[in-house]
Amino acid sequence: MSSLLTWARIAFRQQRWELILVSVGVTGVAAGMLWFASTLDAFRAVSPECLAGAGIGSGFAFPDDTGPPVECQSLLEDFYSTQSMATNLMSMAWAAPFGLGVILGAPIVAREIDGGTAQLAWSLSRSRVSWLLRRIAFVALFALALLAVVAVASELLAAAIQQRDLDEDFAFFGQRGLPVVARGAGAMMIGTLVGAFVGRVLPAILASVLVIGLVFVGLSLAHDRWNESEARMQRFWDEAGNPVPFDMGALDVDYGLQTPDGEFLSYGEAYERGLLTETFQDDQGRVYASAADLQAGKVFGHDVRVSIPGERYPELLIRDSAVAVLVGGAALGGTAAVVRRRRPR
Amino acid sequence: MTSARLAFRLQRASVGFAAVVCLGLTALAAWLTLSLPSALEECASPTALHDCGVVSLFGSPLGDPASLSSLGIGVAMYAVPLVLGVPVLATEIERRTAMIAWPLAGSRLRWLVWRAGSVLVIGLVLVGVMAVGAEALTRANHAQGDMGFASHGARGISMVLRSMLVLVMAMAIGAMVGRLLPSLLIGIVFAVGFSMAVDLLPPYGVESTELTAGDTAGGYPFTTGSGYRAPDGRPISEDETNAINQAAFAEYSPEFPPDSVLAYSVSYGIAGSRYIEVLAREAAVLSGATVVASGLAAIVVSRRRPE
Amino acid sequence: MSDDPVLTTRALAKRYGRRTWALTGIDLDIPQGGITALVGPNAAGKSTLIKTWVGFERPTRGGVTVAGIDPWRDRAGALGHLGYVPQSPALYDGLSVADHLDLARQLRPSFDREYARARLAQLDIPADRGARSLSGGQQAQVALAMALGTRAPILLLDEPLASLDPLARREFLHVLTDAVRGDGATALLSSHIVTDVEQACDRLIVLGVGRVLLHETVASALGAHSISTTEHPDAVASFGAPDGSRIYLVRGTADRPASLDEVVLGYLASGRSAVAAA
Repeated sequence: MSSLLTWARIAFRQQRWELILVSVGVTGVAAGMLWFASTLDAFRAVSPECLAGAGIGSGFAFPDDTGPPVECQSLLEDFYSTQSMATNLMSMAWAAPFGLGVILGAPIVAREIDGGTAQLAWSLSRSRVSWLLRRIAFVALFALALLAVVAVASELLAAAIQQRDLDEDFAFFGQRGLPVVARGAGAMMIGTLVGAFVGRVLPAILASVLVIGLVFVGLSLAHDRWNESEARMQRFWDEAGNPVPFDMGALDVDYGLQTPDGEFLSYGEAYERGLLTETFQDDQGRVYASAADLQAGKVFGHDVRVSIPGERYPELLIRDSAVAVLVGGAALGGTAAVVRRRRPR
Repeated sequence: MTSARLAFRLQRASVGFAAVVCLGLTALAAWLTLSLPSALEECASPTALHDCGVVSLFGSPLGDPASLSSLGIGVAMYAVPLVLGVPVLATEIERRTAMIAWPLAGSRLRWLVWRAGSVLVIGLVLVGVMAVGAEALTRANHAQGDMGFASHGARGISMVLRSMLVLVMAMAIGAMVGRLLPSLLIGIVFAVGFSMAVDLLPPYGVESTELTAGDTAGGYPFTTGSGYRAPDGRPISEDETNAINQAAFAEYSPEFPPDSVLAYSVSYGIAGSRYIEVLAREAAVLSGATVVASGLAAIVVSRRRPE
Repeated sequence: MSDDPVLTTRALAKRYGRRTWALTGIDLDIPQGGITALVGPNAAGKSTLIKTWVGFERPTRGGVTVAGIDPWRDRAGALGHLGYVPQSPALYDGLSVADHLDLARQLRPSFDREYARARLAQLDIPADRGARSLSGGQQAQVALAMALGTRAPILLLDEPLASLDPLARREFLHVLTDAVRGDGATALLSSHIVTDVEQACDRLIVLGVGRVLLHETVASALGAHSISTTEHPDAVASFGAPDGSRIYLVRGTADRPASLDEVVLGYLASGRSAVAAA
């Protein structure tokens, strides 16, 4: 136990400033998130009927045509204003993993090489890989603990912003819960790899901003392609003209038309191919190419959304997180390879 | 040239990073500026494929690159000065090269002017280029009239002033802390706080008035607040406004009530035509703050231990 | 005590970039026990040679062994026999002296923390002092204590005296000698200040222009060489004396015995001449 405490104490002291400043920053962000969450929930506690009247929480649930009462308008303005600020704060949950990856990950090995202490450490430790793991472990655990705090706070804030349960909901995907921690792990390992490769602190930080950014943009694009391939068309009205329950939690990939032969056609594509020059739509989502077609009942297609249902949120959550962790694992392997081979100066 | 060469070699990574970011964003802004007229023309055509309901940069096919450009410039105007400014003094102290440099120079202030001056010039040039690009982009987005306060703080002189203050303050922070990474983190906190606070400063004592249609036509105004007036022009509250308008709609339903019986909202602010006046005041305030920050850096350098 | 050399090189050569050869065909056998001085001018290749044994520099040609182990095949095995003091030892700014000993114990479980602490206490170096606030001499002593604390049979010290004042150098060598003699360890100490190592070292290696120019015991180097003030048929080389005259290092008897400084200078001059002739 005392050996463990010694290890933690030394590791903390080796990156004292960064760990303290990052902790203060994360604590502030998490506290802000929790404050906004409780403030938003307090609005509902004060007047649930005002929020329900405006469709908040139930979303596109076809609220009463008269809208919320006049006396609700002031409360609703305050709610929207708070909601807007809270949504901006949610972006910190997206940025935190990358920030920690750069600030905590990049200097781990870079500073040892830059400062010349790698010669000391690598000659004392018989295995550079075990040195690396020992060196990274504390910082990684520390960072993941901080990100877990952000993940929980952002989960609560997201639910408060949307005013609904988000267990099967893609709202703020990647900015709450498990992905925040997983992406942080991936970013940290990438930052460490860049630092080991570059061997100087400031260049490593700058390079890791670019590398981490590019990697995660690439992963995001790849996920988008994957999602597109798995999304399904959903109409807004069924054949009988009954409204199909709108899945508020679904992940929307595209909007367009379902042609009579069942194919999906985006509006842009329809215009580009000259199939449509203008559109007419009835109140059950049927689209017609002209007023005459509307009169004649000649349907061009049905308005549809292409989406992944909200019930698949846990699956995609795990998938996104697993990819981030795998990328991090690969980066860690790369770091070990670099550390084993490179000169300490 | 020797100073510039040495300044580059002493901070190769940060100067290189700053150059790539500033010049890259400027190139993007330039491409958008040149592409916008044809993109808007395309929106105006009967066969427009995209939803160009709002005839502006962001309602055009260039919406995503335009958003990226705005976001990038908004971050870079603070990130670049931090990356340039923090290492100037922090690395000299952390690596103990100040122990060589300060005795050689004789006067620490002379050394500071030499060391910081070249970085300031590099920063000024890079941010200046980016500011010009942002200015051109904003102008292209407001081709119909004057820009007024549009994108104030994120283009032209106002951007350069803010960036230079952050750069000098970053140097001062680096001098005080004496270690690179902690200085960078503190600098980030300062930059975030400054970016929020500086938006609260305008209009620097220039009195707000109720904005008229003429004020709006003279360029994007700076809005300081809003209010409501009854049909007779009397100032009223928001609740009174809602009550008057609901009653009017109920009375005239299903027709729309005439404007003469409706309460209306008004905006208060500074007309776009007075942009130069506000900009001049901002220049004085931020320049003064930059001088104070420079003085702070100089005091720290002259008094602190070199390690 | 084994007769096998503890440190060896075979045709060791190291090139940096495309054209800069730091070492060219070094063959060395360092026997067990005692302190060997590795002397030579700046850029002679002393640090490079030491770093190949520590596993920090990969040989371009040839190979090295530490206690019979090739550090490039079994780094852990080789390092287990080594304690190393790097050139201008960099300590962790944020850690105290005691923290450094704890760190060493964390990294090498066999590290004898108490032994290192006792060494530092003898020198009145406070354990709770921050590394950043230590003098250059004290930092060097901390680095030495960390190397000694490994209780490794082989110590490699890369120019540990370079930034020390005369008193600090004397103290450092005293601690080193004490520890080596006491533990029966083998130490290799590189320096470009010959007079410092003369008292403490048993063997001498002169390294110049990337080659071994001389490898003998100090006693035999001194006994086998003398100085002539005129040209001599057995002269190894000639070089300038402090008074401006030309003197000749002779392997054999001549006008007067050579000092160790003069032996080193003579062989360095011979090395330079050989390169010039080539």
